[in-house]
Amino acid sequence: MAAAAEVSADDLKVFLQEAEGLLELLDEDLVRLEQESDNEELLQEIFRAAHTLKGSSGMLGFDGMAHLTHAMEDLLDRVRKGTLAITPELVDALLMSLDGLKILKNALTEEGEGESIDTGPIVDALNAAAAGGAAPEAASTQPALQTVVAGDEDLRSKIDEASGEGHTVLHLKVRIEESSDWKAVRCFQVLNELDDCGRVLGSVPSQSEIEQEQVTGLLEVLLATDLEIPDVQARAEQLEEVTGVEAAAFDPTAVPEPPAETEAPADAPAAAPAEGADQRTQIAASAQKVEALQTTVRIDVEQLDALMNMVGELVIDRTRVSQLSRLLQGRFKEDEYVGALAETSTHIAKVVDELHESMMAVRMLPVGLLFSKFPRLVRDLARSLDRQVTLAVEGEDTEIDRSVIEKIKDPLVHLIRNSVDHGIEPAEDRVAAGKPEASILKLTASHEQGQIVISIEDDGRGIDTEKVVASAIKKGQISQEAAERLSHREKLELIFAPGLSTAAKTTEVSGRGVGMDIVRRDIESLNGRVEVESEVGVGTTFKLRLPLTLATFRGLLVSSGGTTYAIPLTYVQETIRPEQEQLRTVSGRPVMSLRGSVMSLIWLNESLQLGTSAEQARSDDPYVVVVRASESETDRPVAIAVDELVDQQEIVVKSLSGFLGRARGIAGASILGDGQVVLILDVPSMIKASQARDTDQPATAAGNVVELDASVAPRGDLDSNEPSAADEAPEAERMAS
Amino acid sequence: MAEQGDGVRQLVVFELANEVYGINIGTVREIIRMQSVTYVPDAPDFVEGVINLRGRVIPVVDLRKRFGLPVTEATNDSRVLVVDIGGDDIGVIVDAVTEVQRISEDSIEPATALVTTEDSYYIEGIAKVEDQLLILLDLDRALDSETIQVAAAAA
Repeated sequence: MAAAAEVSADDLKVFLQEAEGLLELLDEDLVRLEQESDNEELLQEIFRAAHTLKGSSGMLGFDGMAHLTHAMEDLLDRVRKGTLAITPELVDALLMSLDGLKILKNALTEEGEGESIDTGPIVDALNAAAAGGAAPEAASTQPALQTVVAGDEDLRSKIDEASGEGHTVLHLKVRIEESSDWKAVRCFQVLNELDDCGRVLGSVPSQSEIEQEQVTGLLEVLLATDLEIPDVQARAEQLEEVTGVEAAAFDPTAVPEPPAETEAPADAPAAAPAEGADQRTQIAASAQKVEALQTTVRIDVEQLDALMNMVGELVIDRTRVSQLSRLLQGRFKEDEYVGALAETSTHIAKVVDELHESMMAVRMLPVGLLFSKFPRLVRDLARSLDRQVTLAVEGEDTEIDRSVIEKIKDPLVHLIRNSVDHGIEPAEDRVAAGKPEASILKLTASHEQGQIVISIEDDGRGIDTEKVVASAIKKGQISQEAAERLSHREKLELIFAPGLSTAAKTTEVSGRGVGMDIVRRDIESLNGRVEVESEVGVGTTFKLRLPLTLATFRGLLVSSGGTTYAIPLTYVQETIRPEQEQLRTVSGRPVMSLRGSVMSLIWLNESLQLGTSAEQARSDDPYVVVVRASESETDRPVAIAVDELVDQQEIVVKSLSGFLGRARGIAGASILGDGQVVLILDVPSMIKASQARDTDQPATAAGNVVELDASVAPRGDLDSNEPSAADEAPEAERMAS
Repeated sequence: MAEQGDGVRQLVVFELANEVYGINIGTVREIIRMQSVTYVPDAPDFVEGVINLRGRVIPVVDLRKRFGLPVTEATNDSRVLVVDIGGDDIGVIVDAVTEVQRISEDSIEPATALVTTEDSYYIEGIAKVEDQLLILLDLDRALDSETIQVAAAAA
């Protein structure tokens, strides 16, 4: 185990995957071997599997497995050479070693503690089987080709004919690179090449089997030729991925006599076809296997993305067609063709919607794929930090778009690491606090109102908000006075401030200034949110709220200064057409009053700096979209003033070229049905930017709602730690240019 | 293509503010007519915005602005050269595209001999073709975002 402990998590993963595949294969093949003791290819396959397993387990220092597979390999080699017959006892011993291997492998998977069984007795059993089953010359391994020849009268007559014409009939065994993806193609090439040397009489697998890709690494060919053996060998060997060519004159006498137990020679013709039939049923069986496998298909991710893109285009066009059809119907109410067109368009819309939905479903993966990596992570962390942690996972079946899965991995690892490192106390502290020694880290995924919620909950020491606040003050991220006004939740939110190390947040453990701001930024870049709840001494819960997909969303189209923009509907609380008196300026900042609250107002044109002066940019009669970055208390609604509300529709997200840099306030682009490019507003960053501007002017209401009657209290101090300094730096750079 | 190796280059020749420029044909993916451009706030100022190139959103730059030339309205002759810059497709607005020309390497004077301003790092050389001077542009350099940022910072 000492050696195994040094194996990296990645190596182990690769090894386990490989081992799992090989063990499954062995499981099936060993049982088959008992039935088909003369199947040379099967034996080869088993031998190779054992051999591969021996190699990789030995390399990684899993001595038990290496030892066991070595014994299996020895035994199989003897079977292969024909010095050992396949008996039920022998298969028993092999299966027993297989079970042993499985136990060893599982030990590696679950606990990493491995090597929990003694391989000695199994190896002994293998040796005993080898000793007991030793068989003399009666090698039951019959070359497949000969079997075929025996079963194929037609072929036999061809052989006779060829020899009658004075040609040599050669029996070639051509080995193709095992790892080749093109075995069928290579077999074909070999046959072609050999046909040039003379005449291919027959082959195993046969030409039609090759066409159906029923190939292995071995191709046996019967060739009638006038060339010398080395010449033929050379021709075949020069082909790509051909690893070896054995050639010998075909020995017709080696064609199997009827099986030994059949006494009467007269039975031979009858027995031979039966064997041929056997072969056929076997092929049929493997064909069936192929068919069964084909109920699932592996698809290249890129291909899937391309398909998704096309469906996205269709969705765009669908919207456009529906619009046009509505327009036409308005104009030509009576026209029957227009009516029919509208009907068709409705139907197309329905089908496209279904297609879109199915496409999304295809892209969905269970979040368990990601979660499955965490037990190991938690275990390793717990060991290295000397904690006792049990990871409890729930909702692994919850499905998420694969692009989302990819992007939440790092944030999740980060949060789990934080929990184990900073949240969960060492066992003795836990006992002192009256908690069970082992803490429970709960990782849960679920659907909630069209969103995916992933929560990471620990029963650790919780976040001491006073320490967080103290650290924030020390770092100058917030003033003393501002800090005093913060609610518990607002104080907790401070952990997402850039530069505030998580170490400072809870423990004296320091050094790694891992930033929760990165986690938040990553999740927000997915249109998701991070929420935190914590109680000192009880524990901390992080919740990630994520969209089901990144590829499309419902969007509100608005226009401002003659340009159309899309706002993700998830951020939109309401749209209103405000009265003039609702819009005003407080201490130089535009605000809007709504039902007794005041919220800061962003004039879209100004905010995006569309080059017009402030006065020009402000419409006399704007529409206002009330948006909110999240439901969290700390995210208050903000009003965005636009010229027009255009439409609501499905928006297909297109990425903006990196060439444009990070366009402030813009999350991406989309293409409308008429081909027009619209930009998608990045609502959270717009709100932050607006709040950042507000804090430049100390005595103003920031982007938060304050009661009308209250003096316009500066909350700017708090906000100043929200928009990250990191965000501003590139902006400053950009402005300078 | 054999000539290519024998010191002959194929250039897409275009006009910009009465000067004639050439870029290697290999970098040009296609040449399209002007189309409606969506303005992108906060982008470098020579970036006109983005266009829809068959379902993809690509940025377009105004080469006049990039080179500090007087900006004019697009005309019927205006074209967008879609070029490959470091794997990204970028549209480049030029006054007109005249032809594809083969020139021999011998006729190219390297830029080092002619550098007049610090901005000319993106000029690869100048070719004399039938009494006409052809400015060979290295668009990779002219539009390389890092170079631009450095240049902008220096400005």
